[in-house]
Amino acid sequence: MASDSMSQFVNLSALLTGISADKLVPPLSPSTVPQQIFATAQQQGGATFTQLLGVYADAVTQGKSDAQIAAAVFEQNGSDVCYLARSVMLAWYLGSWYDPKVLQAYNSPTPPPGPPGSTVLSAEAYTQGWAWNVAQAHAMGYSNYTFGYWSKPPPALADFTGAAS
Amino acid sequence: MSSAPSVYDVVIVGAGASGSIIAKQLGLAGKKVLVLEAGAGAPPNINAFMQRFYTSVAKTPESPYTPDLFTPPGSGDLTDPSTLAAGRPTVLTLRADNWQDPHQAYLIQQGPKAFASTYERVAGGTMRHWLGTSLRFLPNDFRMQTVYRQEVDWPLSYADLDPWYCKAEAEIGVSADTAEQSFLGITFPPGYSYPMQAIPHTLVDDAVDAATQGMTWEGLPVTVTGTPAGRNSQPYQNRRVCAGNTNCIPICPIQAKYDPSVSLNAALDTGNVTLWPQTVASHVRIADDGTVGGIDYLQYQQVTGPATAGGTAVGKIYVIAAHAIETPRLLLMSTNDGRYPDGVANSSGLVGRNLMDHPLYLAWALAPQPVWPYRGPLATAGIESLRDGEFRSERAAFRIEIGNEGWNFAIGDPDTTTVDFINGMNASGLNPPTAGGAPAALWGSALVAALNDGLSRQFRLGFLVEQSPESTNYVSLSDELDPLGLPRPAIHYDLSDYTKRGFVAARQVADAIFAKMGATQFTAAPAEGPTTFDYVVDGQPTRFRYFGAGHIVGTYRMGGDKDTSVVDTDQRSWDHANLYLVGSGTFPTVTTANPTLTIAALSLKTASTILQQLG
Repeated sequence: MASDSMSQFVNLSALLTGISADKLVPPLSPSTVPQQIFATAQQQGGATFTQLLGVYADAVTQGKSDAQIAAAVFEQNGSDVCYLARSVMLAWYLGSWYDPKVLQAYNSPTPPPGPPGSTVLSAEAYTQGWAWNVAQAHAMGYSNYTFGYWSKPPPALADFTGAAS
Repeated sequence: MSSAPSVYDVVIVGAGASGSIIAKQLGLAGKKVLVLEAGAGAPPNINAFMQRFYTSVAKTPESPYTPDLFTPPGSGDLTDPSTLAAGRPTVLTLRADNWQDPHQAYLIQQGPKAFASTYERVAGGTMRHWLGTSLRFLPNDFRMQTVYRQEVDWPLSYADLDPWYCKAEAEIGVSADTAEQSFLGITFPPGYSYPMQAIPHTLVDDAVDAATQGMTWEGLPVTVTGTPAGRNSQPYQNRRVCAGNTNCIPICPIQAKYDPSVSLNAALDTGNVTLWPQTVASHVRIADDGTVGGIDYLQYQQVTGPATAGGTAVGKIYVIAAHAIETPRLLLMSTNDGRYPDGVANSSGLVGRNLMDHPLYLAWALAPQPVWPYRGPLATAGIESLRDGEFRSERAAFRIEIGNEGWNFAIGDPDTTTVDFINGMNASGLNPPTAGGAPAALWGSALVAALNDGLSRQFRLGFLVEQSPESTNYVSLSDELDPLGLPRPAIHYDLSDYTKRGFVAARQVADAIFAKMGATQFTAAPAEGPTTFDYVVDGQPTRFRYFGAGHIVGTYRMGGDKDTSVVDTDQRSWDHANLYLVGSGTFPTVTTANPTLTIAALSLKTASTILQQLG
């Protein structure tokens, strides 16, 4: 990735999503989904996005473990950082942007009715969503498999997700 | 495009399954055909449909098609149907807070319950988002009154339809095996084979099959069989082989699944068929001799209207193929200056009556081991063995569809479960509160493991319950006008006790199958709403939710005489000798199978009759 912040973003994303960085952003991949998620998080998160990357960078510098980093993101730097991180994770998994404030509202004692609202980032973001891979499947409406594959078990989970960084 | 129409041999209203199949047959025979399509015409490819589907938050059956469900597109705000020249319903307007709001829901739902199925107004029609299920009806489906003293008989028998089923299977391109489909009285002509070999089962199918070996219900075997599919198991009609996109509804991205645009394009390729899109039939004119003399239409440029042109399409023969809600709407609108106050083709008073669906009971569970859903076609097998038996004298029958899409239909997965695990919620039931009180919010490898475990074991069963025909379930004209000045359809709908008893049995069978499998059921108890009903089961009031199956049936029924039906066995109006009303609106009963193959078979039969009539 070109920039330090993008690199940090991908590494943080790998830690939080459990998907290896080289699977999130494969070498030489023409996909622009990582840039879409980065740009959306940056635009929607504003100063909180900068803070999120800062929390991550500091923790890495301090040699903290993955669990300590996750605690820093989710528990030790305020709800804005926590829910922006969750929005980023959902963007990788589902290709949709869930507003952090909306996610926070659903964690209240009186959550709103119905599912949280969201916006699909792009057609490609939908088809490349990681939830499908974690199911060892493919996006509904986007199969690169061939006739009859469904009558046999899928490849191993690690083939989809890589070794988490 | 509406300038100076000459007299066509046949004018067809609607470019869906029936209209397209009939137009193709007539075009091939050299007849001049004009097709009026209320919605957009057939695009050169489906790229725009796919893009609209991919970027739609709510990937409903209607989501790929036009006009856009949302304004602006991609938002979550429903387009106000009162602003659309050719509106149509959506499953997103079945909530307590919007099902009767004319600015949210296209159909003017009068209750007491909501009609839950939807349809399209676009070239290719509603069948653009069909599943592909191409089952034949059972012999006893055609004689419910004779055999079980329930519902009504058809004026046709299975044997009458058998040759037309064969032709329909060729037109659609059905993949199946005759030996496997020879159940409950279904037979095939000697030496007949389906156009293509059967579609392989999924691992979900195999899991249900393994667990139900030897199982019986009320003395009947519970048997998993492959489902005849209108999707390619080998190249057919210049279309590709199924790649298991798990997206038959709402759209196959590679058109391995047949849709009526295949027949429509073949019709247009004859050079004898003309399609006028964005042309809404508004009135059927009856001449002094009682025949149809023309069909008035309105054309629009913008999806919001207004009408920018209009005229009268004139042919020798007329076919209304606008599906089971818009067809009666058009007939009822056609009062001919008061000469037909109850509408055209309606001397029986049955136009619009006996609206039916397959109200669907949905049950979902986690298998004890992975069954690998979200792979393969949406459905590849089902349980057909419970479709017929003595029980039909007491309660509705059903077929069971085994779903390959996990809990996508059931709860909107994988989204719902993913949000649950990441945001510490439990809408799916898979992330119950921990000892500390709140559902866990996961990250990293624990997130991957929890999601993989949940998603890979999901499956569901859909029970398509036979709804009995009731004259109190009907389509009428509302006081709400669309931008063309035409009254929007009003719907009056409920479920009979006979149908509800079918739901009770469906629930019991679902419970029994899940128990056999060692599966953990997650079927949610529904809150009261427009698509729920309460029924006493074993002395306990029990709430059921029904979904629409998209099988809109019965509103201009076929029968043996003009007093008790609207059309004859050729789908010709008893009242007007040059008027045919086609599609599933002619079905006297909804039967125990998905309607499309029979729609196609009857359309081919009608095309043959029209050619004879034209000479």
